[in-house]
Amino acid sequence: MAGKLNLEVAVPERQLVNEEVDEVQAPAATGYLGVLPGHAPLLSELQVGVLSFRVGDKIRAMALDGGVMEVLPAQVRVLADEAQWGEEVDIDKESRTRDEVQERLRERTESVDFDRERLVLARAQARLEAHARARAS
Amino acid sequence: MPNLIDLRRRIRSVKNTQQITSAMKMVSAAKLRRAQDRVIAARPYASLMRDMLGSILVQLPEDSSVFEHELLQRREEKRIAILLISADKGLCGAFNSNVVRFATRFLSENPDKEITLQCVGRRGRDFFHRKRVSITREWVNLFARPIEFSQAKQIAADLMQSFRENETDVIYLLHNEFKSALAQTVVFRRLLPIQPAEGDKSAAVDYIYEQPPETLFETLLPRYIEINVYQGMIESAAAEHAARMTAMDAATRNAGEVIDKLTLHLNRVRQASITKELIEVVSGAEAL
Repeated sequence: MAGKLNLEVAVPERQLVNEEVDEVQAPAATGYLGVLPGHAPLLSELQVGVLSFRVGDKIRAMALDGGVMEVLPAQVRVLADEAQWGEEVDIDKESRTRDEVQERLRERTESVDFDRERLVLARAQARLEAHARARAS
Repeated sequence: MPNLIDLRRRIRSVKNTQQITSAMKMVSAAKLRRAQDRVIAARPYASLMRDMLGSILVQLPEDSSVFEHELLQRREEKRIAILLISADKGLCGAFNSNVVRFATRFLSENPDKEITLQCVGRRGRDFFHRKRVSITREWVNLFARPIEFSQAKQIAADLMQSFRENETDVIYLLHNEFKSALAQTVVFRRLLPIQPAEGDKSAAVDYIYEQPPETLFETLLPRYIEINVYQGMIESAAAEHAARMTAMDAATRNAGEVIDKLTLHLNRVRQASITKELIEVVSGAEAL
């Protein structure tokens, strides 16, 4: 397919991406969603996960904390609540968070707020995943 | 010669003041640059948000249940809340008095309405506190560090709650806007209920909705309020530094003028005393 996608990713404080890309993969609320140029217009909520995109054969990845995505045939616009480049993830910190939360979830005490803990866990996992993918490319 | 000593002392004191004002000017200039960067960095998100809301609203049918969202509901404007953003500190020219004056005029022009204030920044809070205007919420000392989005989020959550719970009919935002390093203007605009922008119907795109539009709005509209509050705050922060820089620049220049004038005066007095002494010596010599 000829043509490219203009990908824009912004969080309230700043814009992370504004460039021409070949392919986008986004953590839509219903599962990962791949977008190629010429995609039908689409609106979707995003969940915590990894957003990755390909320019030529270079792949970049970032962790998203949820948001909203708008897809147009030649454009993808993502409004995220928070985002972090895979390369910038502090793996020690995130894996520590992950282990702590997993520990708490395993204990299953009454006081654990499951929804909250799951979210924290998902966030840490998304960051680690983004880091791993950024490394792999 | 007590006069000479007094003059020297005054010149020294003015010089000290000048050093302080010029240091404050430099500090403000540095802070302004950073604050300005933040204002610019926040723009893409806000404009994306507006575009997205606009393009969704345009293609929805008139009777869509989205328009019944509680943050869009217009009520008769009897109880008005104003989020007033001022600075925590003074010494920034007319910066604080501009917003305060605007709010005071608004209060006196609408005596039949029930107006409450929510103040961000110590200066505005203090002023209306003295005036015994009812201040429902206040946030002070936020501007001591760069504003973070989470702070704006909290304030926005508070505002949305009071609107949802029908404590107020309309919420306005009042703050200084950063135009340039030399100009700040007061902005007064409605925050809640949200006014759906009039879009171009012909540009409507037929979207596939992964979630029903109502769900999307549930996410987008609160974000929209948050980013508006955030933008108001960072604009105000940038404007504050700009205003202080200008004020301190003027103060430094004024101090320079005072020093020049005093120095001239000092030299005259000194010269006069020398002349007087000379005359005394000469006339004493003649008398011999």
